[in-house]
Amino acid sequence: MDRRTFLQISAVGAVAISLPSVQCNSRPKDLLEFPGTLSSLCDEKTIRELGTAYLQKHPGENKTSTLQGLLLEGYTGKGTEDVDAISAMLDTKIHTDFKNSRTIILKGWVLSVTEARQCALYSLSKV
Amino acid sequence: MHIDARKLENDVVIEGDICIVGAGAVGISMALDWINSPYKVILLEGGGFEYDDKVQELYAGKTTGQPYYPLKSARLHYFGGTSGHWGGMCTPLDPIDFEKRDWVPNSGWPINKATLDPFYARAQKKVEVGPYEYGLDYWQQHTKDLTPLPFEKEVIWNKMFQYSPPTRFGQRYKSDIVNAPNVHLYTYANLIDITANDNISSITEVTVSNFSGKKQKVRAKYFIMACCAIQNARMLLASATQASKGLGNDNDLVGRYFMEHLEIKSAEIYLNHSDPLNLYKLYPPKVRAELSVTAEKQKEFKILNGTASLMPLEIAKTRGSNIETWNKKDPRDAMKDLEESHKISKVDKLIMRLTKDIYKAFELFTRIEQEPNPDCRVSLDTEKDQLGVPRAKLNWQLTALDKYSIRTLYKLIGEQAGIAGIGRVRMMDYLHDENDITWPKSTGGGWHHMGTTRMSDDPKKGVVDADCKVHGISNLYIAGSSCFPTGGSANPTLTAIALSLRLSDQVRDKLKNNV
Repeated sequence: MDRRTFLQISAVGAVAISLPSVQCNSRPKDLLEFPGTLSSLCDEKTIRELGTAYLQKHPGENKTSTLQGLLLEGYTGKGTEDVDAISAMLDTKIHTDFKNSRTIILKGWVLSVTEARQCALYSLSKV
Repeated sequence: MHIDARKLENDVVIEGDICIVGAGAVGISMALDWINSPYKVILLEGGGFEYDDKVQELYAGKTTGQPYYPLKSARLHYFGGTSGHWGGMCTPLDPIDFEKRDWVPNSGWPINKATLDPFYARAQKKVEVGPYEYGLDYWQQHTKDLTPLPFEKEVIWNKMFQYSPPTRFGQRYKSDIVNAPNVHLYTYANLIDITANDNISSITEVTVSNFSGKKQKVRAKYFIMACCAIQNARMLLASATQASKGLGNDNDLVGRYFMEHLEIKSAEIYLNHSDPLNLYKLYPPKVRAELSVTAEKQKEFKILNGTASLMPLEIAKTRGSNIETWNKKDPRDAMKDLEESHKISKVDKLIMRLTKDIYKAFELFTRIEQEPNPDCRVSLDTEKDQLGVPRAKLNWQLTALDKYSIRTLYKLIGEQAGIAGIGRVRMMDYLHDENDITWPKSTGGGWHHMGTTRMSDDPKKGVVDADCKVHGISNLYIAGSSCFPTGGSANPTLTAIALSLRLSDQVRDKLKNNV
């Protein structure tokens, strides 16, 4: 095996395409700041950076309560403790965002505004 | 019949019914079409049957503007021409490519896709691919496991490509041409001048030469230039003895509107679940698809036509950009690099075996037309080649629309990935800022030279008319991709051949009718 090949193969050993290091413990507050799909595709640092990038573009939302309010906007479930209902509501919102081009490009990622806000909330709460 | 022009006497006059200048894929396709016809075809090739560096050097030239490949290695100058390093990807242009699009300045062909369809079908045979079928449905019936990404059909469609072996025209068709009694192939016959009649309304003869120092004249009823986009423009501009601005250049259009396909790494798609995406595999035996924006969405977002191809990200990381990979000054080295980059290597196979979830992340690679731009042009240099012809100078210029279109392509694919719930798309750094119109060092083309003698019914807007005849000159035609007014997202070889077969029919009709 030549040196170039060896180096290329060695580099493969370090490859990790997905780094799902953000964990959700299923409490509603955490659920809001947990962008499900994105969390399975990129690491915690990236989520935080995306959140920061969002807040730079939308400084008016740079407050936990504001973001929570926006994320829960339109929620008609029984209460804020209903994890399944909130989860379903967020999934629907994200899907609807994409469907209606309610998207934002942050650091190159094409994100729904809802999941971008989730990242923002995560970045605020983990400071 | 083959004649080595180096062995001819000086000042010999060669006569025929038609004279095709250039024996690449386009010139050979036309010549094949005339075999066994009652007409004498003169086929002129500047090089021989094998690569000759001294001949190749005639293609060297300067580039300015956006960094481009060495001109010497972007085209091949011997029998078979650039088919000698062709990748073999075939697909027709889309109907929208022929339309005048109000958001794409200088767009619109004087013919439509339906006009070319019968000639595409004929071109398929020349490049040894399957039937003239480019619908996903058709190929799904004939090939297993071609499942498309679950995107909305109104937004993203799967543009199908067929793979030629690839046909190396020089090898594949040499015996057909050489053994044809009515086709007279002259090798080492480099065009150095074109002479018109006194009022420059028709061509009387062309002059060819080689390093022996001898010259010959070729006379024919019709002349067809099939030397590729850069050389066609160069030779028209260089033939300036009678027309000071060059032949066919009364309106200062020859050489302008040079186009490439921008070919550039652009984004990544990360999937929730591993999927080999066989439909999009880069090196399949027969067909593959690339992701393309529908005509309706192109209109809505006012973007150019382009596609995204997919390659497992970890494999793609081992590939440099085209501009890095194909930048060798010696075409033989450039060709080797190109062939390497098109193969699945042992390293690739090991990477695929060792990488966990190799099919969860793919690179998205763009091929997109350029906005037709008069400032993106081929002109003449003050320096001359060894045969005394001014060298070509290329000023490659890109526009804000080019970049906006790439960014929008990936925004749409990203949104579709979100709607389908299959994953997310991340664009590369140079696309992050929507206001940034600069281009990264990795920006390259596909060695696809188009434009320079564009087609239009209006002589003020095009060098050739809808029949590929040079405006104002009754018997001078241009064949190939230099006639394209826009480039679409299709690799140009199939369309260039289809267009030349149409031209071939038209010239034959004229000869038959003694026009």
